[in-house]
Amino acid sequence: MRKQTLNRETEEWLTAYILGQLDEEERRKAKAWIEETPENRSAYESLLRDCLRIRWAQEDRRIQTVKAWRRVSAALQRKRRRWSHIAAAASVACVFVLAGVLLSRKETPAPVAQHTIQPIHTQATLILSTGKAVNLIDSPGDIKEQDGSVVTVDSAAGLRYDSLAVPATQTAPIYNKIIVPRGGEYFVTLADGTQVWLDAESELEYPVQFNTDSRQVKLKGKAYFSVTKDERKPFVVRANEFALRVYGTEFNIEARDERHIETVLVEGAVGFRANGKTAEQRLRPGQLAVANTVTGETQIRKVNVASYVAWKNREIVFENERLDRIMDEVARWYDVEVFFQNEELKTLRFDCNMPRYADIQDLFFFMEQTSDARFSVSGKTVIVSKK
Amino acid sequence: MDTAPTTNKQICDLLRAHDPRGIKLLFDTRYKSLVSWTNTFINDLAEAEDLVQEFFIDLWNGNVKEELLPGTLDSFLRVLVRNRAYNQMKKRDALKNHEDIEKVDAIFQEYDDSKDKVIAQVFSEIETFPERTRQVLNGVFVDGLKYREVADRLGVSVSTVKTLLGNAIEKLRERLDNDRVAQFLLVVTSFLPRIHTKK
Repeated sequence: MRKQTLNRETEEWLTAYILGQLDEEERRKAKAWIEETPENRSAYESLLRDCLRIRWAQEDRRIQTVKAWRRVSAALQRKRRRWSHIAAAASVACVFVLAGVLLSRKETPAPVAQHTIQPIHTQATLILSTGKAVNLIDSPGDIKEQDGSVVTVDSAAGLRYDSLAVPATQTAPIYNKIIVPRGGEYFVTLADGTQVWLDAESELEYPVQFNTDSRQVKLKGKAYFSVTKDERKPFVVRANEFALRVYGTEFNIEARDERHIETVLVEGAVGFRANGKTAEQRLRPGQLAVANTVTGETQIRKVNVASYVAWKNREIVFENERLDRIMDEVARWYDVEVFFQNEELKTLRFDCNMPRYADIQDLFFFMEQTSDARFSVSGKTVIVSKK
Repeated sequence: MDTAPTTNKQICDLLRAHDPRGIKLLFDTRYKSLVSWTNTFINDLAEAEDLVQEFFIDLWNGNVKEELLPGTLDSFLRVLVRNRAYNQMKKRDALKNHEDIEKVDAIFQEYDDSKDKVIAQVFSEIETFPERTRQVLNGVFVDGLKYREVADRLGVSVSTVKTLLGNAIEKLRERLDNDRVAQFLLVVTSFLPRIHTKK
């Protein structure tokens, strides 16, 4: 019916107007024609409606949602990385207060499928010099050590050792040890003010007071150190035979495997020896050192520091990382067991960026979106299979 | 369409809880539609896709996602991407003369609500066209080319382009129109099974 109000010539002319094919003068004429009568306007609107529908319908086939989602989901993870720089500047207390907030938020009923896997959270055991074990989550407050030092346990700020007002006499130092289980993390301020972030499944042993001529600590697992400068008393991190001498600095060290100890220097300067027989090598900021304490072999290369220290800034960041390496960390952080049904899935590579306290399903969701891998969770077991 | 209200509510709830499945659901159900809508102004499909992808990324990273309401979800999304389109329009749009954006918005909403049907109608008609006519339609409607450019691309005269286009539009309008008059006669269009899986 409405079609009859337009002759072919007018329809072509209006179509050209709608498609932007007319010059300035013709366009003015068309506009005037449309506004001339209500019938003209309605004929025009009907044509406009049809032209748009034809256009949209044709276009629809060219738009590929799957391909687009692949790009978007990768970017969704990458974009969040910007936060890590801001988080790096955040104060220590803030880190743990926020951890608390995120944990309490978890208690609100989530519309997500229920499972028993918890994101990483503050937890650790302290072994005192007497050998007594203290659960640091259950027993906040002050603990008195044998030499008179007071250890403050604060649920928000972690563990803090203050240096004694009256320096301890030159007796043999007494040692404490923090053990962080899988699924846990902990933060400690040592007597010299040095701050240490301990990742899941890690141990740090250190003197309660640094009263000898060097500050020596022992590490198993992964930790981020922010060492207080003291030129008279060098700070040394030992992991088996590996020794790292610090000159006031920030660095991340992963010593889980004696054949593969990784140190990334954030700022300052450090020197390391793979074992007692090798010479000291210097590391510059932005460099990664990989040391084999058994063979004494070392490698130094430039890396993107952000991805190595992201864990300390409440982020999970992987850059083009193999899935088996990712799942190693995931197993530690979420205290789960991981099984691969298919060996070749281990070599898949991912970019990833998530808040560290995220639900494990969020992480799997993004990885499933961008690969052929499927992650099935049952109890505390994760099975990686092909879709 | 009957399932839309629950889906919308689900999406809004998930997004408010910062659940990534919310953005995935929103993306799956809205991406194409928002690209078409954006391209109405941008007139460059690749650019429109980029814009909408950026939009989804920013939506996820920002706070707006917490304020989405199921009832106004689609109109709100259209306004948001349209504003973005206006802000980065380089290539002027074919529709730039149409100040009556309200009208275009209403037409889009109507299209979006019965999208699968319209697409089926358009394609069932287009399938019957000769190759050349299809190329003209594509050039003008999808690639946003000038008649002159289409003529050069196909090696024909501008008046041939106009005639082919005129015939095609007339037929397509008849199809779209007939169907409106006699909707009960609508046949199941089996050649587009993918689109028809949606209830």
